[in-house]
Amino acid sequence: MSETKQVELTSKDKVSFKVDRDVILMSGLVKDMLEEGDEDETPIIPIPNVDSKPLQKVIEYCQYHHKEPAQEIEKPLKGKIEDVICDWDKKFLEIDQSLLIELIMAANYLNIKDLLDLTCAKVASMIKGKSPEQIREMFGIENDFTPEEEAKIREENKWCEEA
Amino acid sequence: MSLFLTHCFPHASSCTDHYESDSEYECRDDLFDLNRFTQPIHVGLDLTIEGSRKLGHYLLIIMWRLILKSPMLFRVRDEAKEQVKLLEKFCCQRHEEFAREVCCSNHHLFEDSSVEVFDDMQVWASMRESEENETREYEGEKRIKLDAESLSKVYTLSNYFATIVKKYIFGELAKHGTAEIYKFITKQNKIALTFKIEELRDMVLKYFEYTPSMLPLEDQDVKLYFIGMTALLEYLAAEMIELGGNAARDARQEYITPSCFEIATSGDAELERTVLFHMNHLPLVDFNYFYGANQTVLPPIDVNEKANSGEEFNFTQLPTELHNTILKNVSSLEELLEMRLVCKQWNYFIMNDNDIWKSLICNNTISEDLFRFCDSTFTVGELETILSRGKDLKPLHFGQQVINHFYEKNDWKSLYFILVRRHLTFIRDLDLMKSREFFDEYFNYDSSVESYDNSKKKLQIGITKGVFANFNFTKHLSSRVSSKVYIPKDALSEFLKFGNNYSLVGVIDFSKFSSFISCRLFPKNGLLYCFYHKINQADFLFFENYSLESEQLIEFEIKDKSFEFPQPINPYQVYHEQIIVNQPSCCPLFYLQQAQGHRSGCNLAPSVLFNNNEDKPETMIQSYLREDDEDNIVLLSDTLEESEDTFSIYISREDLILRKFENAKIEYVKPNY
Repeated sequence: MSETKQVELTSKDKVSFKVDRDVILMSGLVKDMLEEGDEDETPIIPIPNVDSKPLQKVIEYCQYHHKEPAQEIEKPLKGKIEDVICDWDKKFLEIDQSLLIELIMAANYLNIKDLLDLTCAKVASMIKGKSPEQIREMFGIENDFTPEEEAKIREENKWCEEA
Repeated sequence: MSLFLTHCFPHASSCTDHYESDSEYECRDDLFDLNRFTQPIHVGLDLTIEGSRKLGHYLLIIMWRLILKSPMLFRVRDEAKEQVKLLEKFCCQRHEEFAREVCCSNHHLFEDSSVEVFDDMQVWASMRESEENETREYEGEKRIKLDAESLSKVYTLSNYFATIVKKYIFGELAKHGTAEIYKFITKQNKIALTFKIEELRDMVLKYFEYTPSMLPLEDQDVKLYFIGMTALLEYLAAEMIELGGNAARDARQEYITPSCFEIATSGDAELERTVLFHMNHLPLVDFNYFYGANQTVLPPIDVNEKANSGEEFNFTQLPTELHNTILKNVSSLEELLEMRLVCKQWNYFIMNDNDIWKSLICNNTISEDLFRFCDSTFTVGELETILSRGKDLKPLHFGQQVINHFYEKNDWKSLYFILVRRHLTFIRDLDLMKSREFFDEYFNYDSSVESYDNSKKKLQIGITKGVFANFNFTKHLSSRVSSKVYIPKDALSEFLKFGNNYSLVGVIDFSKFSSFISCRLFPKNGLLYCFYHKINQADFLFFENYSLESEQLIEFEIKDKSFEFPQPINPYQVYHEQIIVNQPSCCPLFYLQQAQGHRSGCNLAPSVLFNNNEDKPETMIQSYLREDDEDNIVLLSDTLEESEDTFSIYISREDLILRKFENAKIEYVKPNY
């Protein structure tokens, strides 16, 4: 009986997706919500923070990795992320930056650890080798260090580096 | 708590004129002036003006972010132009907003009621829609519905607060803070707040440049919001004053000074975390605004808030919580260290988030028998297994002790440095100690506590002065370790194991390792005993929570005294806290009168500029600094050439400033032989 159970997810822009209950249980959030014990045949779960596009992507991910559990990504990344993930994930990540960000936020919100790991690893590989200035620019962070504080950190860093 | 507070702030609003200082830091009179709250206090201790400013400063940091971050005010601010009409709306919006947030992501906060809240949300949402779309005729009906919901409104509101508070305040603080808020918003007519909610509201009005009509206190929602926020403010103020008062008492002070708050903050993990967290987040411009320095500049409005569905997303929209997750994927130490420079928040993440270090350690294979039980190459996963059964590994080794120590504290950063970067390599190499070069390299005789040699990238650890104080050295260079060792009382049995076969080389008191502690690479305190075995082995014992000054040390007799210190190359040597100069004329002593109030950060002196004749160019020579008992800095030079003239000492100003000696008086003292 339980294998046919479905759940309906409603995105921010009011698009509904019907998903197998088992599949979407990958989301910690949905799981928690379903455990609250409503007996509906097809419970409707609003996902008010996520647009339909990333949500669709998320469901795609869940459907694939529901059957094929994601391999743990080796942390820290060695080299490029493309070298350590499976082909399906590689293809999955062929998306533009905007969607990637939305996907991260969706994964965070829906509490899907594997997806969050994957997307964050992707971002990490994007900031690899970038200078603090570039990173600041990329993330829109303001430099709030005084020159003295910066010098202090550099001094401390020297200490940590290997011969 | 309320009782305590009324006690605490007896004349909440009537004592403004007591503090009319015109210091540059004075808050603008109409903005969040805590001074007026902080008259004679329950603890019997007064706050100094500076103290109350410090308190105000901390509270500002925390509260202001909370206010900025609470969705309601964003709403209002973003759409400020629509004014009154909008204000009516935002109450509904807000409820919908937080009900969603609460319901969807945080319902574990209030296990028993999520369904109820969910219903609330639906009600509010539908109400809002109908308000927009339908005609006035239905309004009467809606109002009735609203009244029926008013109880659950209070209820949901407290959840709303719980959500924000939990996000920006940590641990027990958040819990009590929420409880406090809840108490006041549910019984708003029965218990009075000591802080005036109007004041907080005035601040907000001022800050967002609203007219009072935009946040009418008559509006129940607005009122409840400010009651909640004020309650939290009150709670935090009371908490900090209490802790600050304790610190002041501990220091036997009659007044609570800013430093008391600093001590209190650093002594309380949750408070420290909260304050640090907010310090690292708050854009500087906010302070300026509050302190009146830069009144025209408002902090940039958080442009990322919503409203751009369909637009391009970029990295600036990522919530900062996720930066953390990204950092966990950084692959090399060098990169990670470089990223500390991005901003204070990242620096804080990197230095404090253990998971980052844990993942950095992972897959870094640990080779070499760094410690005796590490006799093969293994990964962290395996290490964890080893550590989990760790205790039965015998005998006790320093390596294992230290690793266990950090493992139990879940301190993966330190583990990283020990296991992967091996900043403690000297321990492994200890059996080289019989060679003179080694000893000279790692242990400085002049009792400098620690130093890091940048050119050689090596850590040097000296044996503390305390060691020498506890040993009776014979007078000559081929000294032997004495029979007197002071050890922790409870640990006698451990030492007895060593008694016959080992001689003690030295004791390192970690509490003296001031500059390492700032890197947090070593335990904050504890005694490390280095033993030397007859058959050229070394053993270490590590005892947490002891220092050489502690009273629980007892004298212990070491039977084997065969260990000989290698002969030093240096022309002088510190024995028993006296400086014995082998070639008197070549070793001048210079005393630097230390600027008051700076005790730390002065025991490193990789180089000081010296010359002995003003005609000669300045030359760099090797020298050592150490603190003596009078808080003076003793400079020892070992390469000065013999000369009958007076020496001049030149220390670059930068060097002094770096070491916080900018006001130092340099004095030449002729050594007394």
